[in-house]
Amino acid sequence: MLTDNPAAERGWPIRGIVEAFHSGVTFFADRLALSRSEPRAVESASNESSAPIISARPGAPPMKKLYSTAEYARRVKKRQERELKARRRGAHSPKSADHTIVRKYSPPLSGQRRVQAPVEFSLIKNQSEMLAFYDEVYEQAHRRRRVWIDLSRVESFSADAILYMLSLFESLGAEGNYSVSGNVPKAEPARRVLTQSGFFKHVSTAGTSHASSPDVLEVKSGTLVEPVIAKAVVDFAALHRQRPADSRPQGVYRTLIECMANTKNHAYGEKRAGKWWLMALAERDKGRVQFAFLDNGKGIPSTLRKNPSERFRDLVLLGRDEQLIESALLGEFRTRTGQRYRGKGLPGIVSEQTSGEIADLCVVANRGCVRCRDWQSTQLPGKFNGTLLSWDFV
Amino acid sequence: MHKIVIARDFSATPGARYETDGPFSGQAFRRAQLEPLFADASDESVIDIMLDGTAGYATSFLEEAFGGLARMYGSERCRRRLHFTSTEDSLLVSEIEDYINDASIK
Repeated sequence: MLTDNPAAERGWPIRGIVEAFHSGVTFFADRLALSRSEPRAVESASNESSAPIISARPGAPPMKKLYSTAEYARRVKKRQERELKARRRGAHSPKSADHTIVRKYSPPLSGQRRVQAPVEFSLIKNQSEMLAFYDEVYEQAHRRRRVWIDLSRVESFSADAILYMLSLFESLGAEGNYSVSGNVPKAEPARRVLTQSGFFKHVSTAGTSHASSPDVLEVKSGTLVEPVIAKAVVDFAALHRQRPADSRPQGVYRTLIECMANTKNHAYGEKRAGKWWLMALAERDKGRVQFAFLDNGKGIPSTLRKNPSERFRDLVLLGRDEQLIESALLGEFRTRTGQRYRGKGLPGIVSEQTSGEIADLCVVANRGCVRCRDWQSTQLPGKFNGTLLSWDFV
Repeated sequence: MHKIVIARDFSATPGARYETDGPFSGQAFRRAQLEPLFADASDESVIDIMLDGTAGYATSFLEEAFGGLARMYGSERCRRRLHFTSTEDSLLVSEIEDYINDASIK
């Protein structure tokens, strides 16, 4: 809708046009016109003609006049009306044979529900707003099936929040044919983090919205244990941490393998093959590397409750989610399989913090959150689907 | 005497427990590298295993590889024949020995 351009969105450039793919996710990233009153650049730059250049309004940059006859103007207008009707129906543009949905305007179209993203896009630091945001996206996607995620006001991204958004899209795609669109942040640092994170590799794009960076280990995902990816994380952290040259964080590698194995074998149950995601962001000025690992399975507390051992039945069935997470981290349970020789995974992660390899370990699952630095266990203001492990390599 | 350098003869990136978990699992290592050397019940030759040079070892890998071997052939025989070397992680050998010893406890 040409007139639905909020004043706050005017003038900030975004590159490329991102399309909805099989998951139904579209991230809109290009704007070719500012308002209904201005001549529109209907075609690409290759369609330039020798028509005189005019200015849309005083002081504005000159804009090219693309049509010079009344008949051509009439035909263009009719075509625009047809395309607008097609977009409202949810049909693809006739120009997009590869199912690219070409959206030329950044604001939501009629029928789309805008969901505003929090300024601090971090699950660890901004739990309340982020969980409410995700819940809104999920609820609206179920209710109206066309959601517009407004990231324009986001000023900072964290790895955990980016991963959870991707996992949310995956869940929506698995449950049905939903349409989720959005834009990118105005703030340059936030936009840079999003484009460098590899986020746009996981939502289809027709533009050039991805850019690699040596400070970002892009989003990786998988359904099996991937030792090579675990090694890549360790190497990335070693490259950016201020550690002695002979420092070998083998404990971290071990932890990552266990996380992937936990996801594969326990997070989703026997009937569903689930997925994990991970990424890392280097903070050069702090000499730290922010890392997050996530799956959107059942969550540690739910997994424990499904088959509690007799010894811990009361604690498991009556305890709150954060209590169960803390107990699991401290190794107070036998593992879900109940066999004696297994189950060193979660306590092993804690020992890495104790040894100083990692810091600020935080585990979020279902309705519980445990910050291992000071063993602060809290109940979340909303439900988190799955398990998130976040820490800093130091 | 047999010598196995895990990083060279198997993988520099050991994986998790089972072959179904993903590549370079403890189960795959045991089947490929250890079980053939234990198949002959009369063979008492020492097997020297070098642990250095890998990215690390998940607990599930070690337990399935060596604890699983002990469950198949007995902890005592494994203790006699397996000799471990690790200069990079001083706790690794004792951890593996625990898995071998614990394998006899149900």
